Amino acid sequence: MTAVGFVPSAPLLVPDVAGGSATLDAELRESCREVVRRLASAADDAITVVAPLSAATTWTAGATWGFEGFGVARRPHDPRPRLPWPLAIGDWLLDDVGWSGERRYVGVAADGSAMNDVVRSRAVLAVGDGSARRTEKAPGHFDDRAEAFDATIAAAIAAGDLAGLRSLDATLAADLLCAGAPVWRWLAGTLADRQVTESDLLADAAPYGVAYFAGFWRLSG
Amino acid sequence: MAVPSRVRRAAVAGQCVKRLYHADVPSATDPLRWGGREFGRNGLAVMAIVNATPDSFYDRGRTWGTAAALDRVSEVLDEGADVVDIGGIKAAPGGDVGAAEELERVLPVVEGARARHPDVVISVDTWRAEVADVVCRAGADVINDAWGGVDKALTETVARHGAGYVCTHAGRQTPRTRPHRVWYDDIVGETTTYLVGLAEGAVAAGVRRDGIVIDPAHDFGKNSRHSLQLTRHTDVLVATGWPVLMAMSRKDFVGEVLDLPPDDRLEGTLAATAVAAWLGALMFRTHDVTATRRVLSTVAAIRGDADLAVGRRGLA
Repeated sequence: MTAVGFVPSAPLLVPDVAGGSATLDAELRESCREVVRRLASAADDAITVVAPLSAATTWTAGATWGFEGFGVARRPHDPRPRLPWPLAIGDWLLDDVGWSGERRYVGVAADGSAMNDVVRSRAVLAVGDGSARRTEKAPGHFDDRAEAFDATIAAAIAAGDLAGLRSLDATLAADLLCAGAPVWRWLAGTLADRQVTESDLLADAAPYGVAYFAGFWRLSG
Repeated sequence: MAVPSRVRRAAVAGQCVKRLYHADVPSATDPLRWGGREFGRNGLAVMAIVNATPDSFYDRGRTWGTAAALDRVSEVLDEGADVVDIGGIKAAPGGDVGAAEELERVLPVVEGARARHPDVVISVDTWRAEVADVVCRAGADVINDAWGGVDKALTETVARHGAGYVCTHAGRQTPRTRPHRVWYDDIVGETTTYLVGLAEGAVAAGVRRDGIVIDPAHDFGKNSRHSLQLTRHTDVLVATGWPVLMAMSRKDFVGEVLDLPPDDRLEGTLAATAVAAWLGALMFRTHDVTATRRVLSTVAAIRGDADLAVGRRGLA
């Protein structure tokens, strides 16, 4: 693995899901596109999308997806296997920047475990976000521990701090409805003692009470 | 029992077929009986929201305190409400309100409403069996289980008092939590199946069959598109045979259609009300009794279920 992109798992990133308010999040979406563009330029032939799921799973290339479970209009019938929506958000971003190379998909379980074939891919798109308890109106209501917890994640992504991601408290993360924690902990574990040579935090915001990060890492070969 | 035509239509559409033919489904012509009232299936009824809360999303404490809540009860009855629905805990997350505090808020309003208006149909919005038990002894006729069967002892309590019961689908969420990226493979099918299951469970627990209604609980455990889909497919809920209550008043799904705050959601709510009434829902829970009553009267006249209040135009 030589490059990692960080993007949120917010369904509203996808314009078809956000509806008329899609323009409100244009800046965040553009940051995510920039992350994926950098990832694509660092990738050779494949990008692996990694997202939090209920169980450790892998999906093959050629899968399809839709957001009808969120009430978005159903697409015409497609017999191909369907990606769960957190992976679909990453896949939509790959479509959106025109990635034409191979795609692989990995679901990380809540305990941070995954079927570990991802390291064969040079580029990984890590989908997940911080606490959903940042404000009174947040999906999980306000928790006064959330802001500091998210600041730790933002600092770790900004600094390329693998140890910082590895040491995220899983129990606290679950309390704070942090969807990304299993993915980040798994990522930090998989990368072990590799060196992050370039790190950039492109977005760090919680406009709806959920912490969104967009970031990019380059690693030593 | 003859299969109502609506059931056949829904079955043809492939939705909820197994459940719709269940033997426990009441006949769609049986009236709903709450308190001393009978609600015929061709009627359209208004359930008025009376908040005994300091912090509910729309009125924000306007009827906080027993005296203000009782004044509100009188006001909505003057406006034509058929049922008052008294609640002591706002739906959104916030400070804990235990059963004792809930009762402190709700019980005096129930007692006062019963004393002032002996014939009013009183519903209490609670998920707690211990609260239901006390308010039913004080004269409540209906328990509105707005979080969808969380307290397993609730239906037995309702049954013991011979009260009515509102079954709701709150997406199996913990009370007072918000939906977060909730995914339904089939929102209409899941909601319908869940509600029929709750209704049948209530009957099994001894609740009067003619006292049960089902409510898809717009926005509870749902995003706005889910709520719109349930409104669009009101006829599927109606086809179960259980009377359908719609609780849509000024909710976020209306707000997100129009990008408007709660104060400006009346017209959108009334549009949803008219559509759901046309598709067969029986009762509408609302903050705005007069406006809702007028919409329902108009729908009833269009359907041919109610005559003109005045017939002069072109007829003199």
